[in-house]
Amino acid sequence: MKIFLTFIVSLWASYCIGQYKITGSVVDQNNQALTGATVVLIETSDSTMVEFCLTNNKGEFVLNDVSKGVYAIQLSFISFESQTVNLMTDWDEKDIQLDPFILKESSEVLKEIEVKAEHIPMGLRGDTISYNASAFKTRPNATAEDLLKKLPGIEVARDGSIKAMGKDVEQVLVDGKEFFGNDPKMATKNLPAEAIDKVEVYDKQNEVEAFTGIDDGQESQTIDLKLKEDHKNGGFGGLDIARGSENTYSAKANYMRFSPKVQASFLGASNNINNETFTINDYISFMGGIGNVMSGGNLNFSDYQPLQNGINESTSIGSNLNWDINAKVDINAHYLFNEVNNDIQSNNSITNLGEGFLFDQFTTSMNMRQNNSHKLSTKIKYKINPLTHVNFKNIISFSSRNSTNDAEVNYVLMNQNVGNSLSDFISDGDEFSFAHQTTLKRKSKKKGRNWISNFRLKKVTEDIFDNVFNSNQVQGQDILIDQNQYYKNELSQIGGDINFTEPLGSNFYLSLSYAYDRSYDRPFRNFFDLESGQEILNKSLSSDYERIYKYHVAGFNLKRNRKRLKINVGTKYQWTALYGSINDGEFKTDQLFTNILPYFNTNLKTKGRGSLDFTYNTNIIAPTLQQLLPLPNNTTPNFEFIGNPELVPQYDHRLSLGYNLFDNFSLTSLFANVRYTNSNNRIVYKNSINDQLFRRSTPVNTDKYEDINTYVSLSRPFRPLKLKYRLTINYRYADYNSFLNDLESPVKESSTNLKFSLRNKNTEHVYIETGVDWSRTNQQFEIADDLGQTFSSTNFFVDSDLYLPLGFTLTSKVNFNRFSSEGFNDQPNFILWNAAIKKLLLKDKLELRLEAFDILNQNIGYRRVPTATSIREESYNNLSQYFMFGLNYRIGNNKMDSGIQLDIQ
Amino acid sequence: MKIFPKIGICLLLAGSLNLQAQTEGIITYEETHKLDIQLGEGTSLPDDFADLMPKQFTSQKDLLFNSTEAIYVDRKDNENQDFEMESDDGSFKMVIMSDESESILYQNFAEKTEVNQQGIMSKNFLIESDITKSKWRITPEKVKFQGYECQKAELEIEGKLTVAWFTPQIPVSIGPSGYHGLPGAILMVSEDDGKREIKALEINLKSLDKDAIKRPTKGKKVTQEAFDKIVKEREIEMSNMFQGRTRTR
Repeated sequence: MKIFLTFIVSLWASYCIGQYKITGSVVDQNNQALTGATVVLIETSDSTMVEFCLTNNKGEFVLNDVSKGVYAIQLSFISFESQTVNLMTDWDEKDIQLDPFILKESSEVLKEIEVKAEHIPMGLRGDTISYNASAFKTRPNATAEDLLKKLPGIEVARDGSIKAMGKDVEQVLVDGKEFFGNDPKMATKNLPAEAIDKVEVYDKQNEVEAFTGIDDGQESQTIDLKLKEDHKNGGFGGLDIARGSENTYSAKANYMRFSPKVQASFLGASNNINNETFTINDYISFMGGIGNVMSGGNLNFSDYQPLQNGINESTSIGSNLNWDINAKVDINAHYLFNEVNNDIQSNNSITNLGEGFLFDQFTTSMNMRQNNSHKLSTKIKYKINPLTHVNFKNIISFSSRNSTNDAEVNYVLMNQNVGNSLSDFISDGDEFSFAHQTTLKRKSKKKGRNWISNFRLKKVTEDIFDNVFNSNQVQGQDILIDQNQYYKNELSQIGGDINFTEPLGSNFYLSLSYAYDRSYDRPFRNFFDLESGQEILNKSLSSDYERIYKYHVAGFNLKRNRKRLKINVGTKYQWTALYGSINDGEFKTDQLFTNILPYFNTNLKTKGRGSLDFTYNTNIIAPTLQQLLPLPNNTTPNFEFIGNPELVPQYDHRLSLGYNLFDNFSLTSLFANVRYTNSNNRIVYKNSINDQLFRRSTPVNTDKYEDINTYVSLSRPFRPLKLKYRLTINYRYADYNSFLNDLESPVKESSTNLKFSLRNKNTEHVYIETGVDWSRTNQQFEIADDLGQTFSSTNFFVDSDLYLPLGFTLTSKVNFNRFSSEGFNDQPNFILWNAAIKKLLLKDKLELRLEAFDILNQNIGYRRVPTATSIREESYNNLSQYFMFGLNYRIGNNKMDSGIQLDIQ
Repeated sequence: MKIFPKIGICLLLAGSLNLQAQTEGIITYEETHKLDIQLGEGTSLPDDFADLMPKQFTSQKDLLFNSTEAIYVDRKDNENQDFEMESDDGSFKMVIMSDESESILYQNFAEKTEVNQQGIMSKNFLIESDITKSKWRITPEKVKFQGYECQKAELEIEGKLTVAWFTPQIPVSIGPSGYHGLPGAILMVSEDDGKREIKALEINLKSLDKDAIKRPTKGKKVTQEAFDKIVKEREIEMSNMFQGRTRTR
């Protein structure tokens, strides 16, 4: 090598005759040679570089082939101060030897440059909108929900429900997979925003459509939260704990560990400040299921605020697993444990609308409830081959519930106290259920032809023990009920359906379907009167009941799917059989109903991203077992619910027209629809009161019910003030027949609701949202003009976040509520004000906060609820005026931005 | 005066220093083009549009180099960055589509020639030219980037200023997008006040396969002027297609 080198060098040397050569060396302050130092020859006139060289291991350098000129030499070396020295020479010698250059070590800490890649905020690919999360800044410990709030086109309501492009979002997936079942809030409230790389939004396709490729015209959206690469391998999570006055606490922890084939997540939460830790589906199953049997009421979903009143402690622990075992099989399993403890003390007053006189009822009650439930759900997807898929789904759940309720009721008629009743109610029960579903899908090689079939099995057992103590002293009469009530039920349900679709030509499909379902109930009720501690069977109230509910449904459907216009026409024929027998045939009911259920839908895509939808459909609502059972249910004092075996199913006709527009250019979303319902044999409740002021309620079919519901929602930016507003108007009018103390009376109801909210768009330093929610309801009974009720409620709110320097944030939420109605003199109103101050520490991984709730101490838990025949006012023992100190800590992959950041000066 | 043979000598002279390993490798760069969208008169634009409109277009490229050659190519996994937006009355529609044709820049420092393979839509062109010496101005400013100490240099072309940061710790005179001639590998470039920026994302000094750097041969041989003319013609065609009152640069 050395010979070769010398040869090359000498070749060059001879070639450069006539040119100058500059040699020198570079050393440090200790005279040590600096190897690999850069030597640059600069032309002084324009500062351009002429040539350069690096020093060798002796610190020496040679600049060859230099022409005469005016130069400077610049020397630099890592961690040393650079030097620029003017070249002083008289150009006499061809070989210019320079003195060694001495470089000084640099004490300068060099500025470090990071590279940040800015991405396009959102892109459109066909019907999928893809948002780049890094383009929308969120606070360090923000959740996915906070990120979604910033995305144009996505609206997150105050209760956490989500709308995208005006349509409801019914599912939120994480990296394409289910996360703790189907409740969107499980993902949005638990996944950290910093784990998300992209948010994709697309029209939901239920499994049938995704498999068959034929759009069903359903109008809901799915959001898929795609994770960043560094969160797809490894774990991340967080911890949030807080403790405060009045013995309050709150704790939440989650940890997720993802890898290409496995996604495992763990969630745990517990608090006694009335924050739900569970989903609405879980709530239904452990409250509604048993509850329906127990107290004879209907669960009102539009009023879903289960923990609003009283002091509630709830705990949830859960785990979710997604595992892609291989190309053909993948598994999803999740387990959830929920426990809720309620402590509700309430004061109610009920004004019953009887004929011509006002009857008041004042109740003071204390209710303690503890419910807990375990649920394990597993789903196996097996792709036998590209044309055949099979899914197995199993859900096992076990729940138990016990409660005690102590109440005292005072009856007042015409301002005179006419009686009172005391009751003590204890309940203890549990429920076990198992549900299974197998789905088999088969595509044929011919495009568009496919089979889908489902098989379902369900088994539920319930076991409840109640003790009812009820002492009534009304109008001089003394009635005492002291009973042990044992209740047992076993429900078995089996069913299946099969659907076949055949393409008939360009975009034209025919579907045939058949479904069968049979459910079998066997409830036992054994009521024992207690006399001096001895149980004596009360034959008139005890029974065993058997109910079989069966239906066959066969139908066909014609679909025409074009790009802009979709038409769907079909009919179902339903044959329903309802069989009930009490005490082994002592009383029987055997009903058979046949109904034709037509359906028509058309969807037209209008200019921009709008669509017009028109639907006509019909629906049957069969009476429940409990509505048919002609045995009194007397667990509430002075009130009896008794079923009606003569009930027939309710048959509804529905017409709806809707228009939906989202303009991503001006960020306007408009959603409007009108819905008309006409029910035949609508099931309503007939309430009557006897002289002993004992109320009885029984369901009956009424011959008239129609209502019309209109809804308009508009959301738009208001450019001049850099604000964004949203306006929603809802109007409902109903005309139906109801009962007022055994007398039939037409009723006309109208209700109007207006919601308006405003928020600022540039949320860099401050976020403010303010709005008003106003409703007015009016009810008129034709037979009793003076019983008409009009009442209105107004809710006004201001929410703000102020982002201060040094990582401090100030938040405030103010809610002003006001109720008013005719006939009620005092108009209660109250202001709820919550505020918090937060500080970020430890590179934004830790947030400390101090929160104050109900600062003005006005949380009296007041509600006013009108029904067809009464007005109820309630107030509860609510948590009021307390403070909490908390911290939030994130663990796992915490590189601030996984991209690269550059600012060139 | 020819720079490149001199580099060769300097490196060879430093015989005992094992610099061989540091003169071969792959540097991955990210290029960011700022989009300066000018709209025709008469289009009313809501403020939000400005927020949502893409402000830049990014792509990733690889620079493979050894002591005598370098080649600058597209990375295989470039994101699809097509973008589309339409106003509700259809009066305004903007479509940004990435031209998916390949572009390869090959430089041979020993021969002092370079070959640029460029595609327009589906047609490839080969533009051959000589490597000319760049008149860099070196300043003493230094920063640290991707773990290397970088020094600043400036170049002026046709009145436009290009700033580059190079590191003598990688003693090869190579750089992205054809930039060369500095006493070290160029890790960052900023053209015309940020109109185009190139930053190194990953630096991998390692031996390359023998045929990793291949001279491109696909395409019709044209001169730079001829190619520029073809590009201009295409632009006019495209804007006519979309009734262009909009032009992007």
